Amino acid sequence: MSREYILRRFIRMIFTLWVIMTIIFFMFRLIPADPASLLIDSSLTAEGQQQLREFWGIDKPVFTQYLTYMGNLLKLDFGRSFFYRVPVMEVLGPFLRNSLVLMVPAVVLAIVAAIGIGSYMGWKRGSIIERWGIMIPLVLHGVPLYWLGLVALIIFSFWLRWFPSSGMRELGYTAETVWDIYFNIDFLRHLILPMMTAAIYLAASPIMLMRSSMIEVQNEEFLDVIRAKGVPERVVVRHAMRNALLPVVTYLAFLATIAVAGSVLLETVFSWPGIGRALVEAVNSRDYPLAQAAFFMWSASVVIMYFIVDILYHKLDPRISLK
Amino acid sequence: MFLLPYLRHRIVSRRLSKITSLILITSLLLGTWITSSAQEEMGALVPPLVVSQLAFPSYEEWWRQIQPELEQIGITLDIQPIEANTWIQSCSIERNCGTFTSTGAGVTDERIDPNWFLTDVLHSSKAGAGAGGSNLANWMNEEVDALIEAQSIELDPEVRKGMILQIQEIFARETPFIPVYYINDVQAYDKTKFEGFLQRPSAGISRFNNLTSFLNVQPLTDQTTLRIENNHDGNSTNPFVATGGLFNTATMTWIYDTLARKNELLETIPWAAESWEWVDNTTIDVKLREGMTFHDGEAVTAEDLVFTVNYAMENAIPNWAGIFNVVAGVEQTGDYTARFTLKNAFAPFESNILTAIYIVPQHIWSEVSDPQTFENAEPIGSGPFTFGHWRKNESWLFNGNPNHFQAPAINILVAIIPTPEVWIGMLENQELDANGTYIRGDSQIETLEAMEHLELVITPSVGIQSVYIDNRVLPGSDLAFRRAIHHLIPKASMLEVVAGLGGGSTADGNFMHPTSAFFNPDTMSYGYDPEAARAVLAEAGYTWDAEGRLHYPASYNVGG
Repeated sequence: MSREYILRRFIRMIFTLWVIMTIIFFMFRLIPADPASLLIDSSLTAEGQQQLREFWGIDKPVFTQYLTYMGNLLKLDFGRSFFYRVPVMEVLGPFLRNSLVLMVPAVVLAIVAAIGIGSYMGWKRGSIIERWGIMIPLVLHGVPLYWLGLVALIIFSFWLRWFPSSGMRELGYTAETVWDIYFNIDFLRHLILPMMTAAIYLAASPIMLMRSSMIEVQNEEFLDVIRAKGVPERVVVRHAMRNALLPVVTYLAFLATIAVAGSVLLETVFSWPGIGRALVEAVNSRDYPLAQAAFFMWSASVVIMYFIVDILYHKLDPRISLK
Repeated sequence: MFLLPYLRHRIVSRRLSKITSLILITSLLLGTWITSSAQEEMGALVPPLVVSQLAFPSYEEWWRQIQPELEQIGITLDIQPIEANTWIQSCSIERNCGTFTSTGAGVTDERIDPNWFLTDVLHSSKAGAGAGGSNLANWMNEEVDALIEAQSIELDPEVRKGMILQIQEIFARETPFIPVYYINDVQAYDKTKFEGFLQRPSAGISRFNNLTSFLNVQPLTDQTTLRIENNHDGNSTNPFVATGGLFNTATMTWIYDTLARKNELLETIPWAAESWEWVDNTTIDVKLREGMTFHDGEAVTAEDLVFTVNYAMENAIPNWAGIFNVVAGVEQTGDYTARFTLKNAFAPFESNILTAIYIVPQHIWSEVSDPQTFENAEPIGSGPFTFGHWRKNESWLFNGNPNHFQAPAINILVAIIPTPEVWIGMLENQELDANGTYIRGDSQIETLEAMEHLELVITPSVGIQSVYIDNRVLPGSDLAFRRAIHHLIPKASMLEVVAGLGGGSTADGNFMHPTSAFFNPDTMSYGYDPEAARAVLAEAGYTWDAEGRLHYPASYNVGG
C-alpha cells in the first residue's frame, strides 16, 4: 500500500465531507420556515425580530452565510447554538462523549459476536442449532430498533426490574468530573440495557453475512490442503474464518452508518443524553448551528470509518492491490 | 393513377369535416348558452376547499370526521396534512391556510386574562400575512376592534366586563371561527409518597406553571425530592434568554421571584411585591416585601427591581417586549418601594405585567455586559427554589429554599424523558413520582388507574381548540356559509374520540371558557344540526345541482 494511495484516499474523504456539508447547509435553508419565527416570539415587533436576525447573522444573503459557514468549518468553529445560546461545541462535546461511550462498545460487541456466532453457524450448517438459531438474526434483521428498545425496556426494566429504565445515571446523581460520570457501577447498570439492545440489533446482519461467507469458504480446496497436513480442526476453522472475514470487513463501514442512524432512536427510547437525540431536537427547533455540527460529526465518523475499512481491507487480503 | 381516388376522397372528407365541425360548433355554442343561462340561476360551484391540517393525530381525526359532514351538504375538502414547523410558516405567519385550518390556544399565565385572546386572536391588526399574532381567521370587525381597544385601557372591572361580554355576543353572532372543545388534562402522582397537590385549570396538579401546587406538596416518607417528568429540555438558566417552552420559563420563576403570581384559582396574588397601589391610570406604586434575600444572602431591595427593569430595557430583551409595550419606566422611591409609569392605561397590568416582572440581583448582573450570551451557569435569585443542577437532556434539580417567605417542603428533580411509554412505565415502577406533561390515550390511563400507589387527577383546561375559517375570501367571508359549517361540526363526537377516558367539554358559539369570570352565557348557540345548516344555506340563496354539489347564490361575484 503506497503512501500516495492513502493521501489520495484522504483527499477524497475531505472532498466527500465538503459535499455533504454543502448539501446540509442548503437543505436547512430550503426548509420553508424562517428560523427567526421559531427563535422569536411572534408577538415581537418587526424591529425586535430584525434585531434578532442580525444578532444571529441570518439577515445576510444565503451565499455570504455559506462562505462564513465554510470558513468557520475549517476552524471547527460551529458558532453559537440558536437554542442553547452557547457555543455549539460546548453543548455537543458531552453529548458526543455520551454517544461514543454507548455506541463504540455496542459496535465492537456486535462485530465480535457476529464473527463468532456467524462462523459457528456457517461451519455447523444443517445442525439443529444452526437451523433454529438462524431465525433469531432473521427476525432481528426485520424489527425496528425503536420497537426492540421498548420491548427490552418492558421486559428487563419494567417487569424484571433488572436494569434502570432511563438516563445515564441515577436521577440526580452528583458528579463533577468525567471520571465521576462514567467510572462507576451505577453508570454501568444504566449502560448495559441500551448497549446490549444496540449490539444485538447491529449483530443481526453481519451474523448472516459471516455465516454465508463461511459456507462458501467451507468447500474451498485450500482447506483440504490444510487438513491433509493433519492439523487439528480448530486450526482449519481459523484459516476458514480469516478468508470468510472479508465481506464482513466491508460491511463494517456500513455498520457504522447503521449505528449512527440507530443512535437517534436508541437515545430517544432510553432517554440517553447523546448526540442523536440532540440532533432530532436541533432539527425540530431549527437550531441550524447545532444540527449542522451534529450532522458533521456523524458524516465525519462514517466517512472516516470507510477510510479505515479501505485500508484494513488490504491488510487482511494482500491480493487486493490499492491504487 | 393511385393518387386520384385519394384526392377525391380528401375533398369529400374535407367537405364532410366542414359540416361536422359546423354542427359541432353550433351545438357547443348552444350548449354553453344553455348551461351558462342555467348557471346564472345557480351561481358558481363551490370549489373543493383547502384544509391546512396540522399533522397531529388529533387534527387528523377531526378532519376525518368533518369531511363526511361537509360532503353530505355538497362541499368537497382538499385536506393537506402539514408538518408543524411548515405550518407555522405557511399558515400562522403567511396566512396561506386555505379555507380551513385547526389549532388550539395553549394557556400560559399571561393568557389567563382575556386581553391576550382578544388582542392576539380577534383584533384586526393581527389579520393577514405577516401581521403576527394568531388571528388565523383573519377576522376584521371594526366594532369589535373598538371594544377590544377600550377594554384594554378600562380600569373599572365592571365596565370592562360589560365590553368583553359584548365582544362575545358579536363573536357568536358572526362566528368567524368555530370553537370546538376544551380537552381535560390527565396527570398522576404517587400518593404513597407525596400529598397536597392543588389543581389549577389548564395546569393540572403538576404542570410547571402551577407553583402553588409545588409549594403545598408535603412528603409522606423520608424521600423529600419529588421526581417529575418533562418531555423536553429547557434551553438556558439565564432568565433573560430562557425560552425553552413552558417548563423553562415557568421554572425560572421558581428561582427568580416575580412581583405577583397566579394562584391555583388563577387569581393574581402578591408575591415579591407585598402590595401595589394605583396613583392614577398610568402610575402605580409597588411595595416590595421586606426581609427577602437572594440565594447568596444579599438583601433584595427596590434597587434590584429598578436595575432589572432598566437592564432589560437597555439590552432590548426580546422576552420583555410585551412588558415594554406597556411600561414606560420605573424609579426607586424608597428602600422597598418603586413607582412604575405606563405608556397608557392597561387593564390587565396586574394580571399580565406584575406577574411577568422578576428581580435579578444587581450585584451580579451589573457586571454582565451582554445578557443575550451570558450563560448564568449558577443562577442566583430570591425564589422559593434554589438552583441545584442542569444536565442537558438529563435532568434539572431545584432545591427548596428554607429562607423563602413561603419555603417549600420538597426539592424537585425534573427528569427529561422524551418517550411517553417510558415515563409511564417509570411512574408504575416508582422511578418517578409525578408527570409534568399530560397522559394521553385510553390504554395508558387504564394502566395507571389500576396502579394502587398512583392517584389519577383530571383537570379541565381553559385552552380552546378551534376550526378556523379564512374570513378574507369566499366562501369564508360569507356569514351564512360560516354558520352552516358551524352546524355541521360534530363537536361531541370529535371530543369523544380524541379525549377518550380523559374527557373534556364541548364549546358552543363562544370562545370564552364557562368557568371564566368574563363568560357570557347568553350568546347565539349552534348545535350540531345538518338540517339547520342546509336551511341557512338555502335561505342565503345557495343551491344544489343534480349531483348534490353546493353552488353559490347567483348574485355572488365569485373571483372575477
